Amino acid sequence: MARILIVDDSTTMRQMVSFTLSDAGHEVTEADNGVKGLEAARARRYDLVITDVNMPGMNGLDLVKSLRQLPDFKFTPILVLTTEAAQEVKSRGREAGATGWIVKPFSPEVLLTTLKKVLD
Amino acid sequence: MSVDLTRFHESFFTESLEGLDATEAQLLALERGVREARGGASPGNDEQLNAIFRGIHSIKGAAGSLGFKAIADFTHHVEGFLDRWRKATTAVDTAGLDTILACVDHARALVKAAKDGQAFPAEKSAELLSRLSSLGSAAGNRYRIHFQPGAEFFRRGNDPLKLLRLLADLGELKATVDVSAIPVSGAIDPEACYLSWRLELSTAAARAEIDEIFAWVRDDSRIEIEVEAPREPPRSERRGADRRQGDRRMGGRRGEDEAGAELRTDRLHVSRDKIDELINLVGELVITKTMMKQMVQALDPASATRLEAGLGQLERNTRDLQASVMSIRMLPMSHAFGRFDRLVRDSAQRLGKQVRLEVSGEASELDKSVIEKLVDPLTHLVRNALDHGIEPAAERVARGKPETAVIRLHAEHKGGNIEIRVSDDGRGVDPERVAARAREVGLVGADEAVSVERACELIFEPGLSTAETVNELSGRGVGLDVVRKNILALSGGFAIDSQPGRGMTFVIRLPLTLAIIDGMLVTVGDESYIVPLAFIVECLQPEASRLKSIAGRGMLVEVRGRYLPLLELGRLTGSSGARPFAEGLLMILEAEGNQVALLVDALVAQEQVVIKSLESNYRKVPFIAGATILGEGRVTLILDVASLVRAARE
Repeated sequence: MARILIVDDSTTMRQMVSFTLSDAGHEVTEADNGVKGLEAARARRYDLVITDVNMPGMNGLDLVKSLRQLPDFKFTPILVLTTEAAQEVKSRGREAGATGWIVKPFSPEVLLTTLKKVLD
Repeated sequence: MSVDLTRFHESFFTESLEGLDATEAQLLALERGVREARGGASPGNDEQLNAIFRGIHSIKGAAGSLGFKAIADFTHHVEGFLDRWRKATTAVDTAGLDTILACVDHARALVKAAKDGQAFPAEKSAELLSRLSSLGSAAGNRYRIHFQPGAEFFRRGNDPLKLLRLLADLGELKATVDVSAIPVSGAIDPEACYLSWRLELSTAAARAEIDEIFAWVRDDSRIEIEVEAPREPPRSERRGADRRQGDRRMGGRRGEDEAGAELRTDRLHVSRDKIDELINLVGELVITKTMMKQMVQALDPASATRLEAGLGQLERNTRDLQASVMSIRMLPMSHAFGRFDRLVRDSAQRLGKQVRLEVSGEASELDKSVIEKLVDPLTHLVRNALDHGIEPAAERVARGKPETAVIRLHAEHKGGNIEIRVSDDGRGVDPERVAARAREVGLVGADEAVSVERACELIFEPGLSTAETVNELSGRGVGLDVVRKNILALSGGFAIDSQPGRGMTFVIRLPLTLAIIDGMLVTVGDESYIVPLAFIVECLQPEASRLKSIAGRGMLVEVRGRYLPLLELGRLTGSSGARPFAEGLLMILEAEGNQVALLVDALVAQEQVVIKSLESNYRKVPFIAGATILGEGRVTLILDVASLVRAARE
């Protein structure tokens, strides 16, 4: 069981991820923009952060950079959500300090398989 | 409205056959890569696999559109198998390579059958396809992976152990960690990753699944993945060493091959008639230019000066235009050399010999028509080397030679000629064996001694073959004499160098093009002739004192201490009014390594002449290679120096 923070302005996406991960036995916290995500991260530790890139206020890449500044998130896996069309997000995400990416749309199975790369 | 597709057929046939040649070359390069990988180097064969796949894929597409169902169906299945190679779900191994090469051959046969309107050999298609499907079922690849995480690895939240665990989920994983990069001093950055891993993974999983595991970290880590062919038996050390040496030499060549294959797709298909017409027109232009130049020379010098300057310009432009048009017909020698990879591989396999082909100078360009006429003679020489020259491995070892024999093909430009060498490190011409065989067929008297040089001449005699058994490669006793005849017909020269026990070399020298030559216009009596410049060594004033008459061998002339046979052009051609010896001029001509002195009246000028075939316009004339039209419109004959030299020596 892991504590996971999901940051996405799309309610559908947030709920889909949240539902899948809770169902797999993880504890999920939701935030609907980058600023709120950063606040949540300051409040406590997480084993994994999943964030969208295009969000109002603070975008996902800035969130990744800010998270990496926090001592508790220095080595925490952070995944960015991207689309096939936005290939450059993969490398930009890595540069910002992200651990990897998940390409939208994805099935619950793919999500869980992907998380094996970062969770026990 | 129905569209007539048949007009696309011709280009489909040409393109498909070219595509199959390119695919075959890629397959052979891939095969070398696979062998090399076993020697420990990285194959890096993705590009080759893609090129091979594309090659078959385009034939499939075109065949389908043009309604050649048998070709489309067959290539579709081959493509399916190649896709498994490409995705690494099936390892590239010898069995697969053999089958795919056979499929390429068969595809070629299918295209040819379509071209000739013959029935498609359906049974053969079915047999090959069942061979392919039986290959595919063999599961299990071995991957060798070198994984060196980048410096930022941990700082981006990645975990090498989790990735290794995912790999282990795919099959059997053997991991060796390399800790040598950990600094010994206290200057360790605790956040950096100093470890790297060598992994061996046996799995039925596709390469893509492995790539997916490393996807996030691929860009900032060092990851090398090699697929190993699982079914290959281990080879002995010694052969390994030989092979590596050979493959290293091949290394550069493979790069060129790939470049060549890429270039081949960027080609315009133009009918040969159009090109020939262009060349003919340029030829006419050359003649017109020469004609005008001669007319200007007859003009009053004052008014001619400016005209002459203009003509000079025209002359340069014509020369450039001619060179550029001629180059359209030029193809790199790799077109001829390319096919020998396969020939050597297959024949060596069949003969149970170990042979490596080394090719150099294949970028040298040569007129397409010459290349085409060269293929058969070269094939014969290579087969000759494989069959007669190269010893079985055991015999080679017993003689202290490397087990793997080498056949070398080399081409290079020398002046206006191209020189092509076919050499091997086999047994060479054995004078005793040749002598024995020559006595048997009565070419040599019972007591006559046979030197190496004489043996080298004898092997060109029709009916003389020293192979103990006749087989399908060569050894039917027709061969080298035909080869020499064909080369001479291209106004080329042929020489041979044999070192008994150490190998032999055939040297072929050819003009770069058959269409236009540089020639010397000479006169004898009231006639004039063109002597191709390539054969002229020098011209001398004759001295009566140097003339010797030898009973039964005609006249000889002493030139720098050597006695050369004297040929009098006036006498040969029956011209009236030829000058006597002392007032004429001696041209020293060389062909096939032999020299003669040709007596003419005078040299007139050096000319570029367009060769017109005498055979197709009139009939074959002894000692005449062709005809040309001179500037003033007069038809002049071109001497066939090679046949003159040969006649003089007989």
